[in-house]
Amino acid sequence: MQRANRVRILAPLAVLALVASACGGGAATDTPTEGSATGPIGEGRTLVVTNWQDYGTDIDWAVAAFEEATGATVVHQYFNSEEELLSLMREGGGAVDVALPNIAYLQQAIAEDLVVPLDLARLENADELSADLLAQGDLRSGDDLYGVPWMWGSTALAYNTEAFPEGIDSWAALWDPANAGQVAFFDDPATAVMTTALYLGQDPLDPDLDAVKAKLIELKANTQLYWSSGDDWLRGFSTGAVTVGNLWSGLAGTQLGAGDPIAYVVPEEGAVGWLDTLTIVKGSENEDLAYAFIDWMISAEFQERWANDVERSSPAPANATVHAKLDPEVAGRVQSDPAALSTLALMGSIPPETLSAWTELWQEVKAS
Amino acid sequence: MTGPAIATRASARTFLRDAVLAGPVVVLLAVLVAVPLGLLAFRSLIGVEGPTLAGWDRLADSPILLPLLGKSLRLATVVTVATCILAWPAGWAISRTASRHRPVLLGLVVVPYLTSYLLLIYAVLVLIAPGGPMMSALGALGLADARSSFLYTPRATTVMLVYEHLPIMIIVLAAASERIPDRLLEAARSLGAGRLAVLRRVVLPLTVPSLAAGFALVFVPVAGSFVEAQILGGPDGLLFGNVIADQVTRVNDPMMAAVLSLTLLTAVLIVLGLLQALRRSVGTFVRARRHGGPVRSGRTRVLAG
Repeated sequence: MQRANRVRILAPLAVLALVASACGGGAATDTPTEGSATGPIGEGRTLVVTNWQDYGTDIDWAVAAFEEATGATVVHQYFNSEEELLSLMREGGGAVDVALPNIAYLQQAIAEDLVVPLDLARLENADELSADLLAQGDLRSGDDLYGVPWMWGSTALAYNTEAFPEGIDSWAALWDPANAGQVAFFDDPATAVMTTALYLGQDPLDPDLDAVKAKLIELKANTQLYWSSGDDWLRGFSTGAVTVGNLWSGLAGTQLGAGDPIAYVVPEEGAVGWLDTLTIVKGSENEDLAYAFIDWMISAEFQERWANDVERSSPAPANATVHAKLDPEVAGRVQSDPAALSTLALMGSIPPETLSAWTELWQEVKAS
Repeated sequence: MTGPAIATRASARTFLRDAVLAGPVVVLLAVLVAVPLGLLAFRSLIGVEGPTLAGWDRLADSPILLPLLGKSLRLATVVTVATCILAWPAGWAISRTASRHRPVLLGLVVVPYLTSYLLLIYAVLVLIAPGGPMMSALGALGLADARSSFLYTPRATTVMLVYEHLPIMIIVLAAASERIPDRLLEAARSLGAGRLAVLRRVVLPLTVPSLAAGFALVFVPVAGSFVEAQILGGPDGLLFGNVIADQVTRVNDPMMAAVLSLTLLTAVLIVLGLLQALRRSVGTFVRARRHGGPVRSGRTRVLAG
């Protein structure tokens, strides 16, 4: 949902990025990699991958390396919303082999019998995946694993380092009367409720809604801006209208990369996070190729190279070995520190009636 | 051949001609208006588990939805009235310039109207941001603190919406003013009407129909607007349109979206209906005044002729 929002808003930018990358050419020549399958198992075959456009799986060098290693051709089917992804998956194997749903939608895909259980033993790089991520309940149904963690991120505390030279590490800063009129808060019901629940020390997925609502109304007095797109935040931040708030890790990374006076921390109370997963669509006739592709996608080599790609800037890699290999500056940009994962409340599948209640609560807060 | 038969055949032919001419529009309207409206009404009664009135119940029970509707309608009224007041002199001025200059002036007015409204919103955001061009200028003049701004308050939304809808109102009113010939004004003046009387008794009555059209053209989109409030309106900016947008983009609740859309549609239609009634009664009033005044009746007859 968070991703859907972001991508909808960033779509025009993505087009620009696409044009820019087309003009720039890009380093397409590379050697095949240890992470991918051995031998040309896919000679003359086609693997269909469905994902957001310009989101890792379709990077020219990544596709070229996989095609060279397997002999197969990779074709992308892009989607513009998770709903669209689900309908692509419903067309079944043949139409799509590998799909990349957000963990919030994986349970629905499992319930509709759209994905197959995965055998981690067939993925050489599975051992390197973050144990915290792999332990997420929403990846499974019963004992079967249906989604492999790929990329993750968080929506945590960001602040202007010039306004807070001492640094802050608690959500309490948002409620501090000293920061009245300087707070930017993400205009999203689920993030608002879950973040406030974390601050109150409650279960982020089942909090006392009355307490959360009271706290959010209290926060409103401090709030200057409910931001709903990255652009909203950037404008508020760069004009100095806001100095502290909750922010996507990806955008914080971009700002850090650009040298903005910003710091991004997952506060002591924890933060809301998201996870994108790799799945194999039921009925795929290219299961072996799909496993090879997933293995390449979770390999340290791919995830490290993507993290280092300044123009394409990846989210945080699910491969836990990558963080240590990154330059500290890059690690800061992609927010790859797996230590943050232990306190992260992943936005899993939220039942529609819960989301509806949260949305109503959030509207009442905004209308109060 | 008898007379009535010819008349019948002629009227049949007229009917056929009208049917052919109006047919495509009728079909288009049926497909693009009636069917979607029917679907909207239908969807407002269909929940996840079949037919239900739950959506309408929620609307009635909600502590925020109807007050928000009132807020949106109030905002739309303020914005539309402000647009009328600002656009009327501009439209009049444009209509009185030399006709070869008019296309240029109208073209300049239209430019913001042809620009994506998102671009306009962000342009205004930059303009009014604390420390931005406007606040710096006001700060330099000592009129305001350059570091403060009304950005992220409902006032920013109002200003934005007025700016956004000025062009269409100016175009409508310029077209209306253009149709008032100079000789009519000269006639009024030569018959003893002062400047104010010309304005009040000639120009205003003749532009009222266009004013009403402009009112509708601005009121309807403003009542349903939400992007401006979302980007500029700050924490107190929520409008009825935002809640509708949320049903579609966030909660995926088409039933509630349909309920709220129909509510807004009905409210807007009621307002426009009231406006129409008001216009009629004002028109009757003006006519009564014209013919009722013993001294001025002759003058008005000249004007009307």
